[in-house]
Amino acid sequence: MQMEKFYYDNKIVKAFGYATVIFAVVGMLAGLWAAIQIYAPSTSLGLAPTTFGRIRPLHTNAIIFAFVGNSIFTGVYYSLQRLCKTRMFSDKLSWIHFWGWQLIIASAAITLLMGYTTGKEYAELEWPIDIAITLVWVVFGINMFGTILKRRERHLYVAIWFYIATWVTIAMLHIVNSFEIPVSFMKSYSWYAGVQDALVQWWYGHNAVAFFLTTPILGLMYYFLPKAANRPVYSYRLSIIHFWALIFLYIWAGPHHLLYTSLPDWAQSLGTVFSLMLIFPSWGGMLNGLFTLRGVWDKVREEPILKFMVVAITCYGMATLEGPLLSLKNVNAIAHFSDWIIAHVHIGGLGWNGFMAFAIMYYLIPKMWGTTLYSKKLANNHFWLGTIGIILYAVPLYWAGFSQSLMWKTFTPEGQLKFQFLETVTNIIPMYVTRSVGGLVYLIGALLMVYNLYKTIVQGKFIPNEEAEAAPLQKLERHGKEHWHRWIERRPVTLLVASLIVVAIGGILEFVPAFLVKSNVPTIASVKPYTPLELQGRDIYVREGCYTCHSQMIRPFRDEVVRYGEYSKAGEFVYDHPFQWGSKRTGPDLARIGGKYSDSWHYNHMDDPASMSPGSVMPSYSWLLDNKLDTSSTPAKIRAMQKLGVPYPEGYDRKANTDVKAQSESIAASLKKDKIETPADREIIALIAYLQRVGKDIKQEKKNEQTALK
Amino acid sequence: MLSAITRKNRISSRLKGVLMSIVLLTVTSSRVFAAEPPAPTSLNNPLALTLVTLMIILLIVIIMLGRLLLGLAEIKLQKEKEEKSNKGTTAAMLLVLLLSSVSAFAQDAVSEVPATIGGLSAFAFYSMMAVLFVELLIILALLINMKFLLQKDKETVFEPAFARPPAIVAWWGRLNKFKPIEQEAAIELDHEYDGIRELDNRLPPWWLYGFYVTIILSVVYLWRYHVAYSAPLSKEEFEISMKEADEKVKAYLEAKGESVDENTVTLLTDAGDLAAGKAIFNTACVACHKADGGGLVGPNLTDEYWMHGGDVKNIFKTIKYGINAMPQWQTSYSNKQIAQITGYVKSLHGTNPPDAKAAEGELYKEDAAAAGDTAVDSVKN
Repeated sequence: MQMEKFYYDNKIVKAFGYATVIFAVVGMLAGLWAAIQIYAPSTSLGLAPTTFGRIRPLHTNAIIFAFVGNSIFTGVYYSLQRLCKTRMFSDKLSWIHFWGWQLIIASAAITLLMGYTTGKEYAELEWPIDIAITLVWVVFGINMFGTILKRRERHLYVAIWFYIATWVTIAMLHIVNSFEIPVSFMKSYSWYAGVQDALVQWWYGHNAVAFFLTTPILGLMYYFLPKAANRPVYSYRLSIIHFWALIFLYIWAGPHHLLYTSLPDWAQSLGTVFSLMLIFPSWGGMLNGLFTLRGVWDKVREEPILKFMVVAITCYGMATLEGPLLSLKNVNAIAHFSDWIIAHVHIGGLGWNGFMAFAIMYYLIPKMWGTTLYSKKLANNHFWLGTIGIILYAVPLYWAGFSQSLMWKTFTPEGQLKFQFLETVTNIIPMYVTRSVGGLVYLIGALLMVYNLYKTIVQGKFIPNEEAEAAPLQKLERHGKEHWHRWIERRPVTLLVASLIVVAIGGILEFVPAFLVKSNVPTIASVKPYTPLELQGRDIYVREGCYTCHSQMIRPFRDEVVRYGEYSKAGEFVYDHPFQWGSKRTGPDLARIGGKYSDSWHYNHMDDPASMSPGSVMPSYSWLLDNKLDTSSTPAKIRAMQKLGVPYPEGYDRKANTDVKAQSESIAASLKKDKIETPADREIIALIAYLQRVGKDIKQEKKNEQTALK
Repeated sequence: MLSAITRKNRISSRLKGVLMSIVLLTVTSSRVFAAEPPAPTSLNNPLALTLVTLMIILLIVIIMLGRLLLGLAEIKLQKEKEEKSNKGTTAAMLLVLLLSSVSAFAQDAVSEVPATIGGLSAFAFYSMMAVLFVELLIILALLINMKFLLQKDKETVFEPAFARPPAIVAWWGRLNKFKPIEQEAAIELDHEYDGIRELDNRLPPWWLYGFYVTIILSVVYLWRYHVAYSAPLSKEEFEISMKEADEKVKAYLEAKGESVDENTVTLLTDAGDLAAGKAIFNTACVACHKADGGGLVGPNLTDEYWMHGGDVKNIFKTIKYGINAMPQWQTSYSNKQIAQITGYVKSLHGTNPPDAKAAEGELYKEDAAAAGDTAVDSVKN
């Protein structure tokens, strides 16, 4: 058999590796800053771009798509070539992918800070960037598939199954969730509204965790763990079962983010049971990882790479057990909207994603520079700092989440709420402080890694093209009985299609009834479209990222109904493109804020929140008092809404600004009565108009009912 | 004499019978809730939840022990074949007998429990207890059998003390069906990818059965919420909890004898009450009405003009239920406390603070009020 000689492309791996390290630090800094802002709002510097509502999306996007994204590409570009015994399909596509992705990250950072956002978590980027992501993702797909098709290895290793499933599912999720109608160059409205938008968004949000933060990393684990430990993978058949079960079940579980909301009960129940069934398929990955280390646990004590991996896999196991438990309604009733969830995701983020990325960096860089790691001791220190950081981060937040949630629910024997919302916040501020210390410790660990890797690079010599040898693909020879699954491992396209079918089932079976069956969203006659001024105000609400701290979803619980008002109904959100239910209550729920306070209260509160509620941790939004409202966008916004089915009268787009003016002036007049002099054309006026409208329509319904009865 | 294979099959089919009857029992007992009023409340019953959880845990224990026992029996039989001995067979036969009697008992339990005891949970409670009892019996039987098998092993197998792994390690190995590392070559697959080899270890039994249990639980869950309607959906759950809370509060207030409301409230002038009222005023009201009551965002409380009525009852109502921009305070403060705030507000009358807001609303004179009330009648809307 003639051996063929070829070269692995290490340069592209190096580029993605550098990007990983840089964005690790950037993303964590953004996170640390956001964490500090929660207890020290003045650190927002009083500037719009650096306020929590914009820094938080920057942090999540930077960590998910820049740090973890680049770490995935680093690992995939390294392992795919070696598992397929070939160079990447096209160097040109590799570099288009690399620079395309970094450009997307850069534009994401800029636009998010400027306030361009769709207002949907982890999918905040506006439509031109969404299109760019789709294109770059396709480039990555072509390059990956090209490589697979020209492989010198007949069968696809389990790592590649995970890469393929990741690619096809992320493509599906991104495209379906990003359906939006452009209003202008950097503004769009979600195609879906209210309950349906929420369902699609959390189908996406949950599976972004599943297929961006989990499956590709599992693929990487299947390559780097046996390599680093020099042990055979524990069980081939476990790989098969947990792979297919995982990708099939994961996609259904999205509605567990919407338990007790206005989402129909059947969809909520599906979210619960599919989460429950996910425990063991998720653990299959953990077991296959940990059991691979059988017989080399003495090595784990010495080798920092293995240490990182063991803690990462353990964190994965804990988070994937906790997730299903959080999907049980009685646990969710306490945990949802609280810091418990933030702690939960950071076990996954810091533990699983962070530690796996670090382990891969420590493995790859010495290999590609033909040297050994500069200092094992430093890496060990990094490991301990990281671990302590995770504990310091998570434990206080679990405590904070649990205690705050119980405070929300506490009544006096006389039947009054025992705690004002603000009291429950100030009570957990010490926990917020500790958490940010945990984050800082973790970041210091990461900086040690940067130094260590730098020193390693300096002492080694980079091998841009690594020589390798392999026989060309031989005609298939069957000898003896083979496992049935080997069949599909020879057929990458079949595997791709099969994965797509398996992951599409859950989504289709949840969406079709939710969109087509009317009874899922019962209409409420008194719910009317927003006035143009309220619509503009709503866009400001979205722009400032209010949803990062305030929910608009009153769940049917005694404490929430007493605290906020009647629980939210599905029919109230039919004109909400996008929905703004939120996922965390750092501030109180706003679903029935309309009419609760006076216009002047809102005006003063936006200028200096602490003046209206002493001790508040909300930052000042004083620029809203000075910024002039851009009314030139009103007609386009009305037309876009009409296209989405919002019943504004024909030709209303031309008259809308007249109504904007009239409503603005009436609000300015009401402010004047309370001794506040302001021009009527400021953004604050639009925001007040919106806030005074939220959740009020249903009160009108009640009045109508009463008059009808009389 | 039966071959090892058929014997094994029979044991596992027995085991399956027991499991099925337990699952059926779980499901049927939950149907019982649906049949009897007031159905959904019993599901909030922590006792019921605890019992169901216990039942499930014991079920898992039974499955695990069953697997373990089967494995042990298999080894035993293998050994017997080699030793040409009859002792083990007796043991296996005994095991079969024991299990069959147990499973028969489990089936009986369903029909034997009387449904005559009043209250909704009596029947459910006893049937659940019966299931638990049966489960415990099965576990006991399994344990006895296992001990029996293991004892025999100890007598025959000689091992030097130092080579035996600690019990926990051995147990862990059995739980996962680990293949000893030395024998790994037998299950190594004939391929490698970039130097990565793969073993074909069996699925850890607890993992596989755990997966099955979650699937069964999911079916039961969906069945209960959406087919049998024996568990309350969000909205029902809400109504139940509101009703319970109302009753509790009512009972508490009645017991305490503190039942002031807008119809019975009178002006409090006692220094203690005014101080209490002032304390609340200074936290809750100052943001809008200023510390001296002169008004800021909210109206001036020190003049003679009132927007929603200036007598005790109307002020009490305005504070309690809120109106327009004035938030409601009944969710934060008790009626007693609201009466104290009302008293304090009334005490501010005529203090003429500096920078006070201009008068709003209608004139209200204390003495005139005695003659005819100018109050706005419906504060709440």
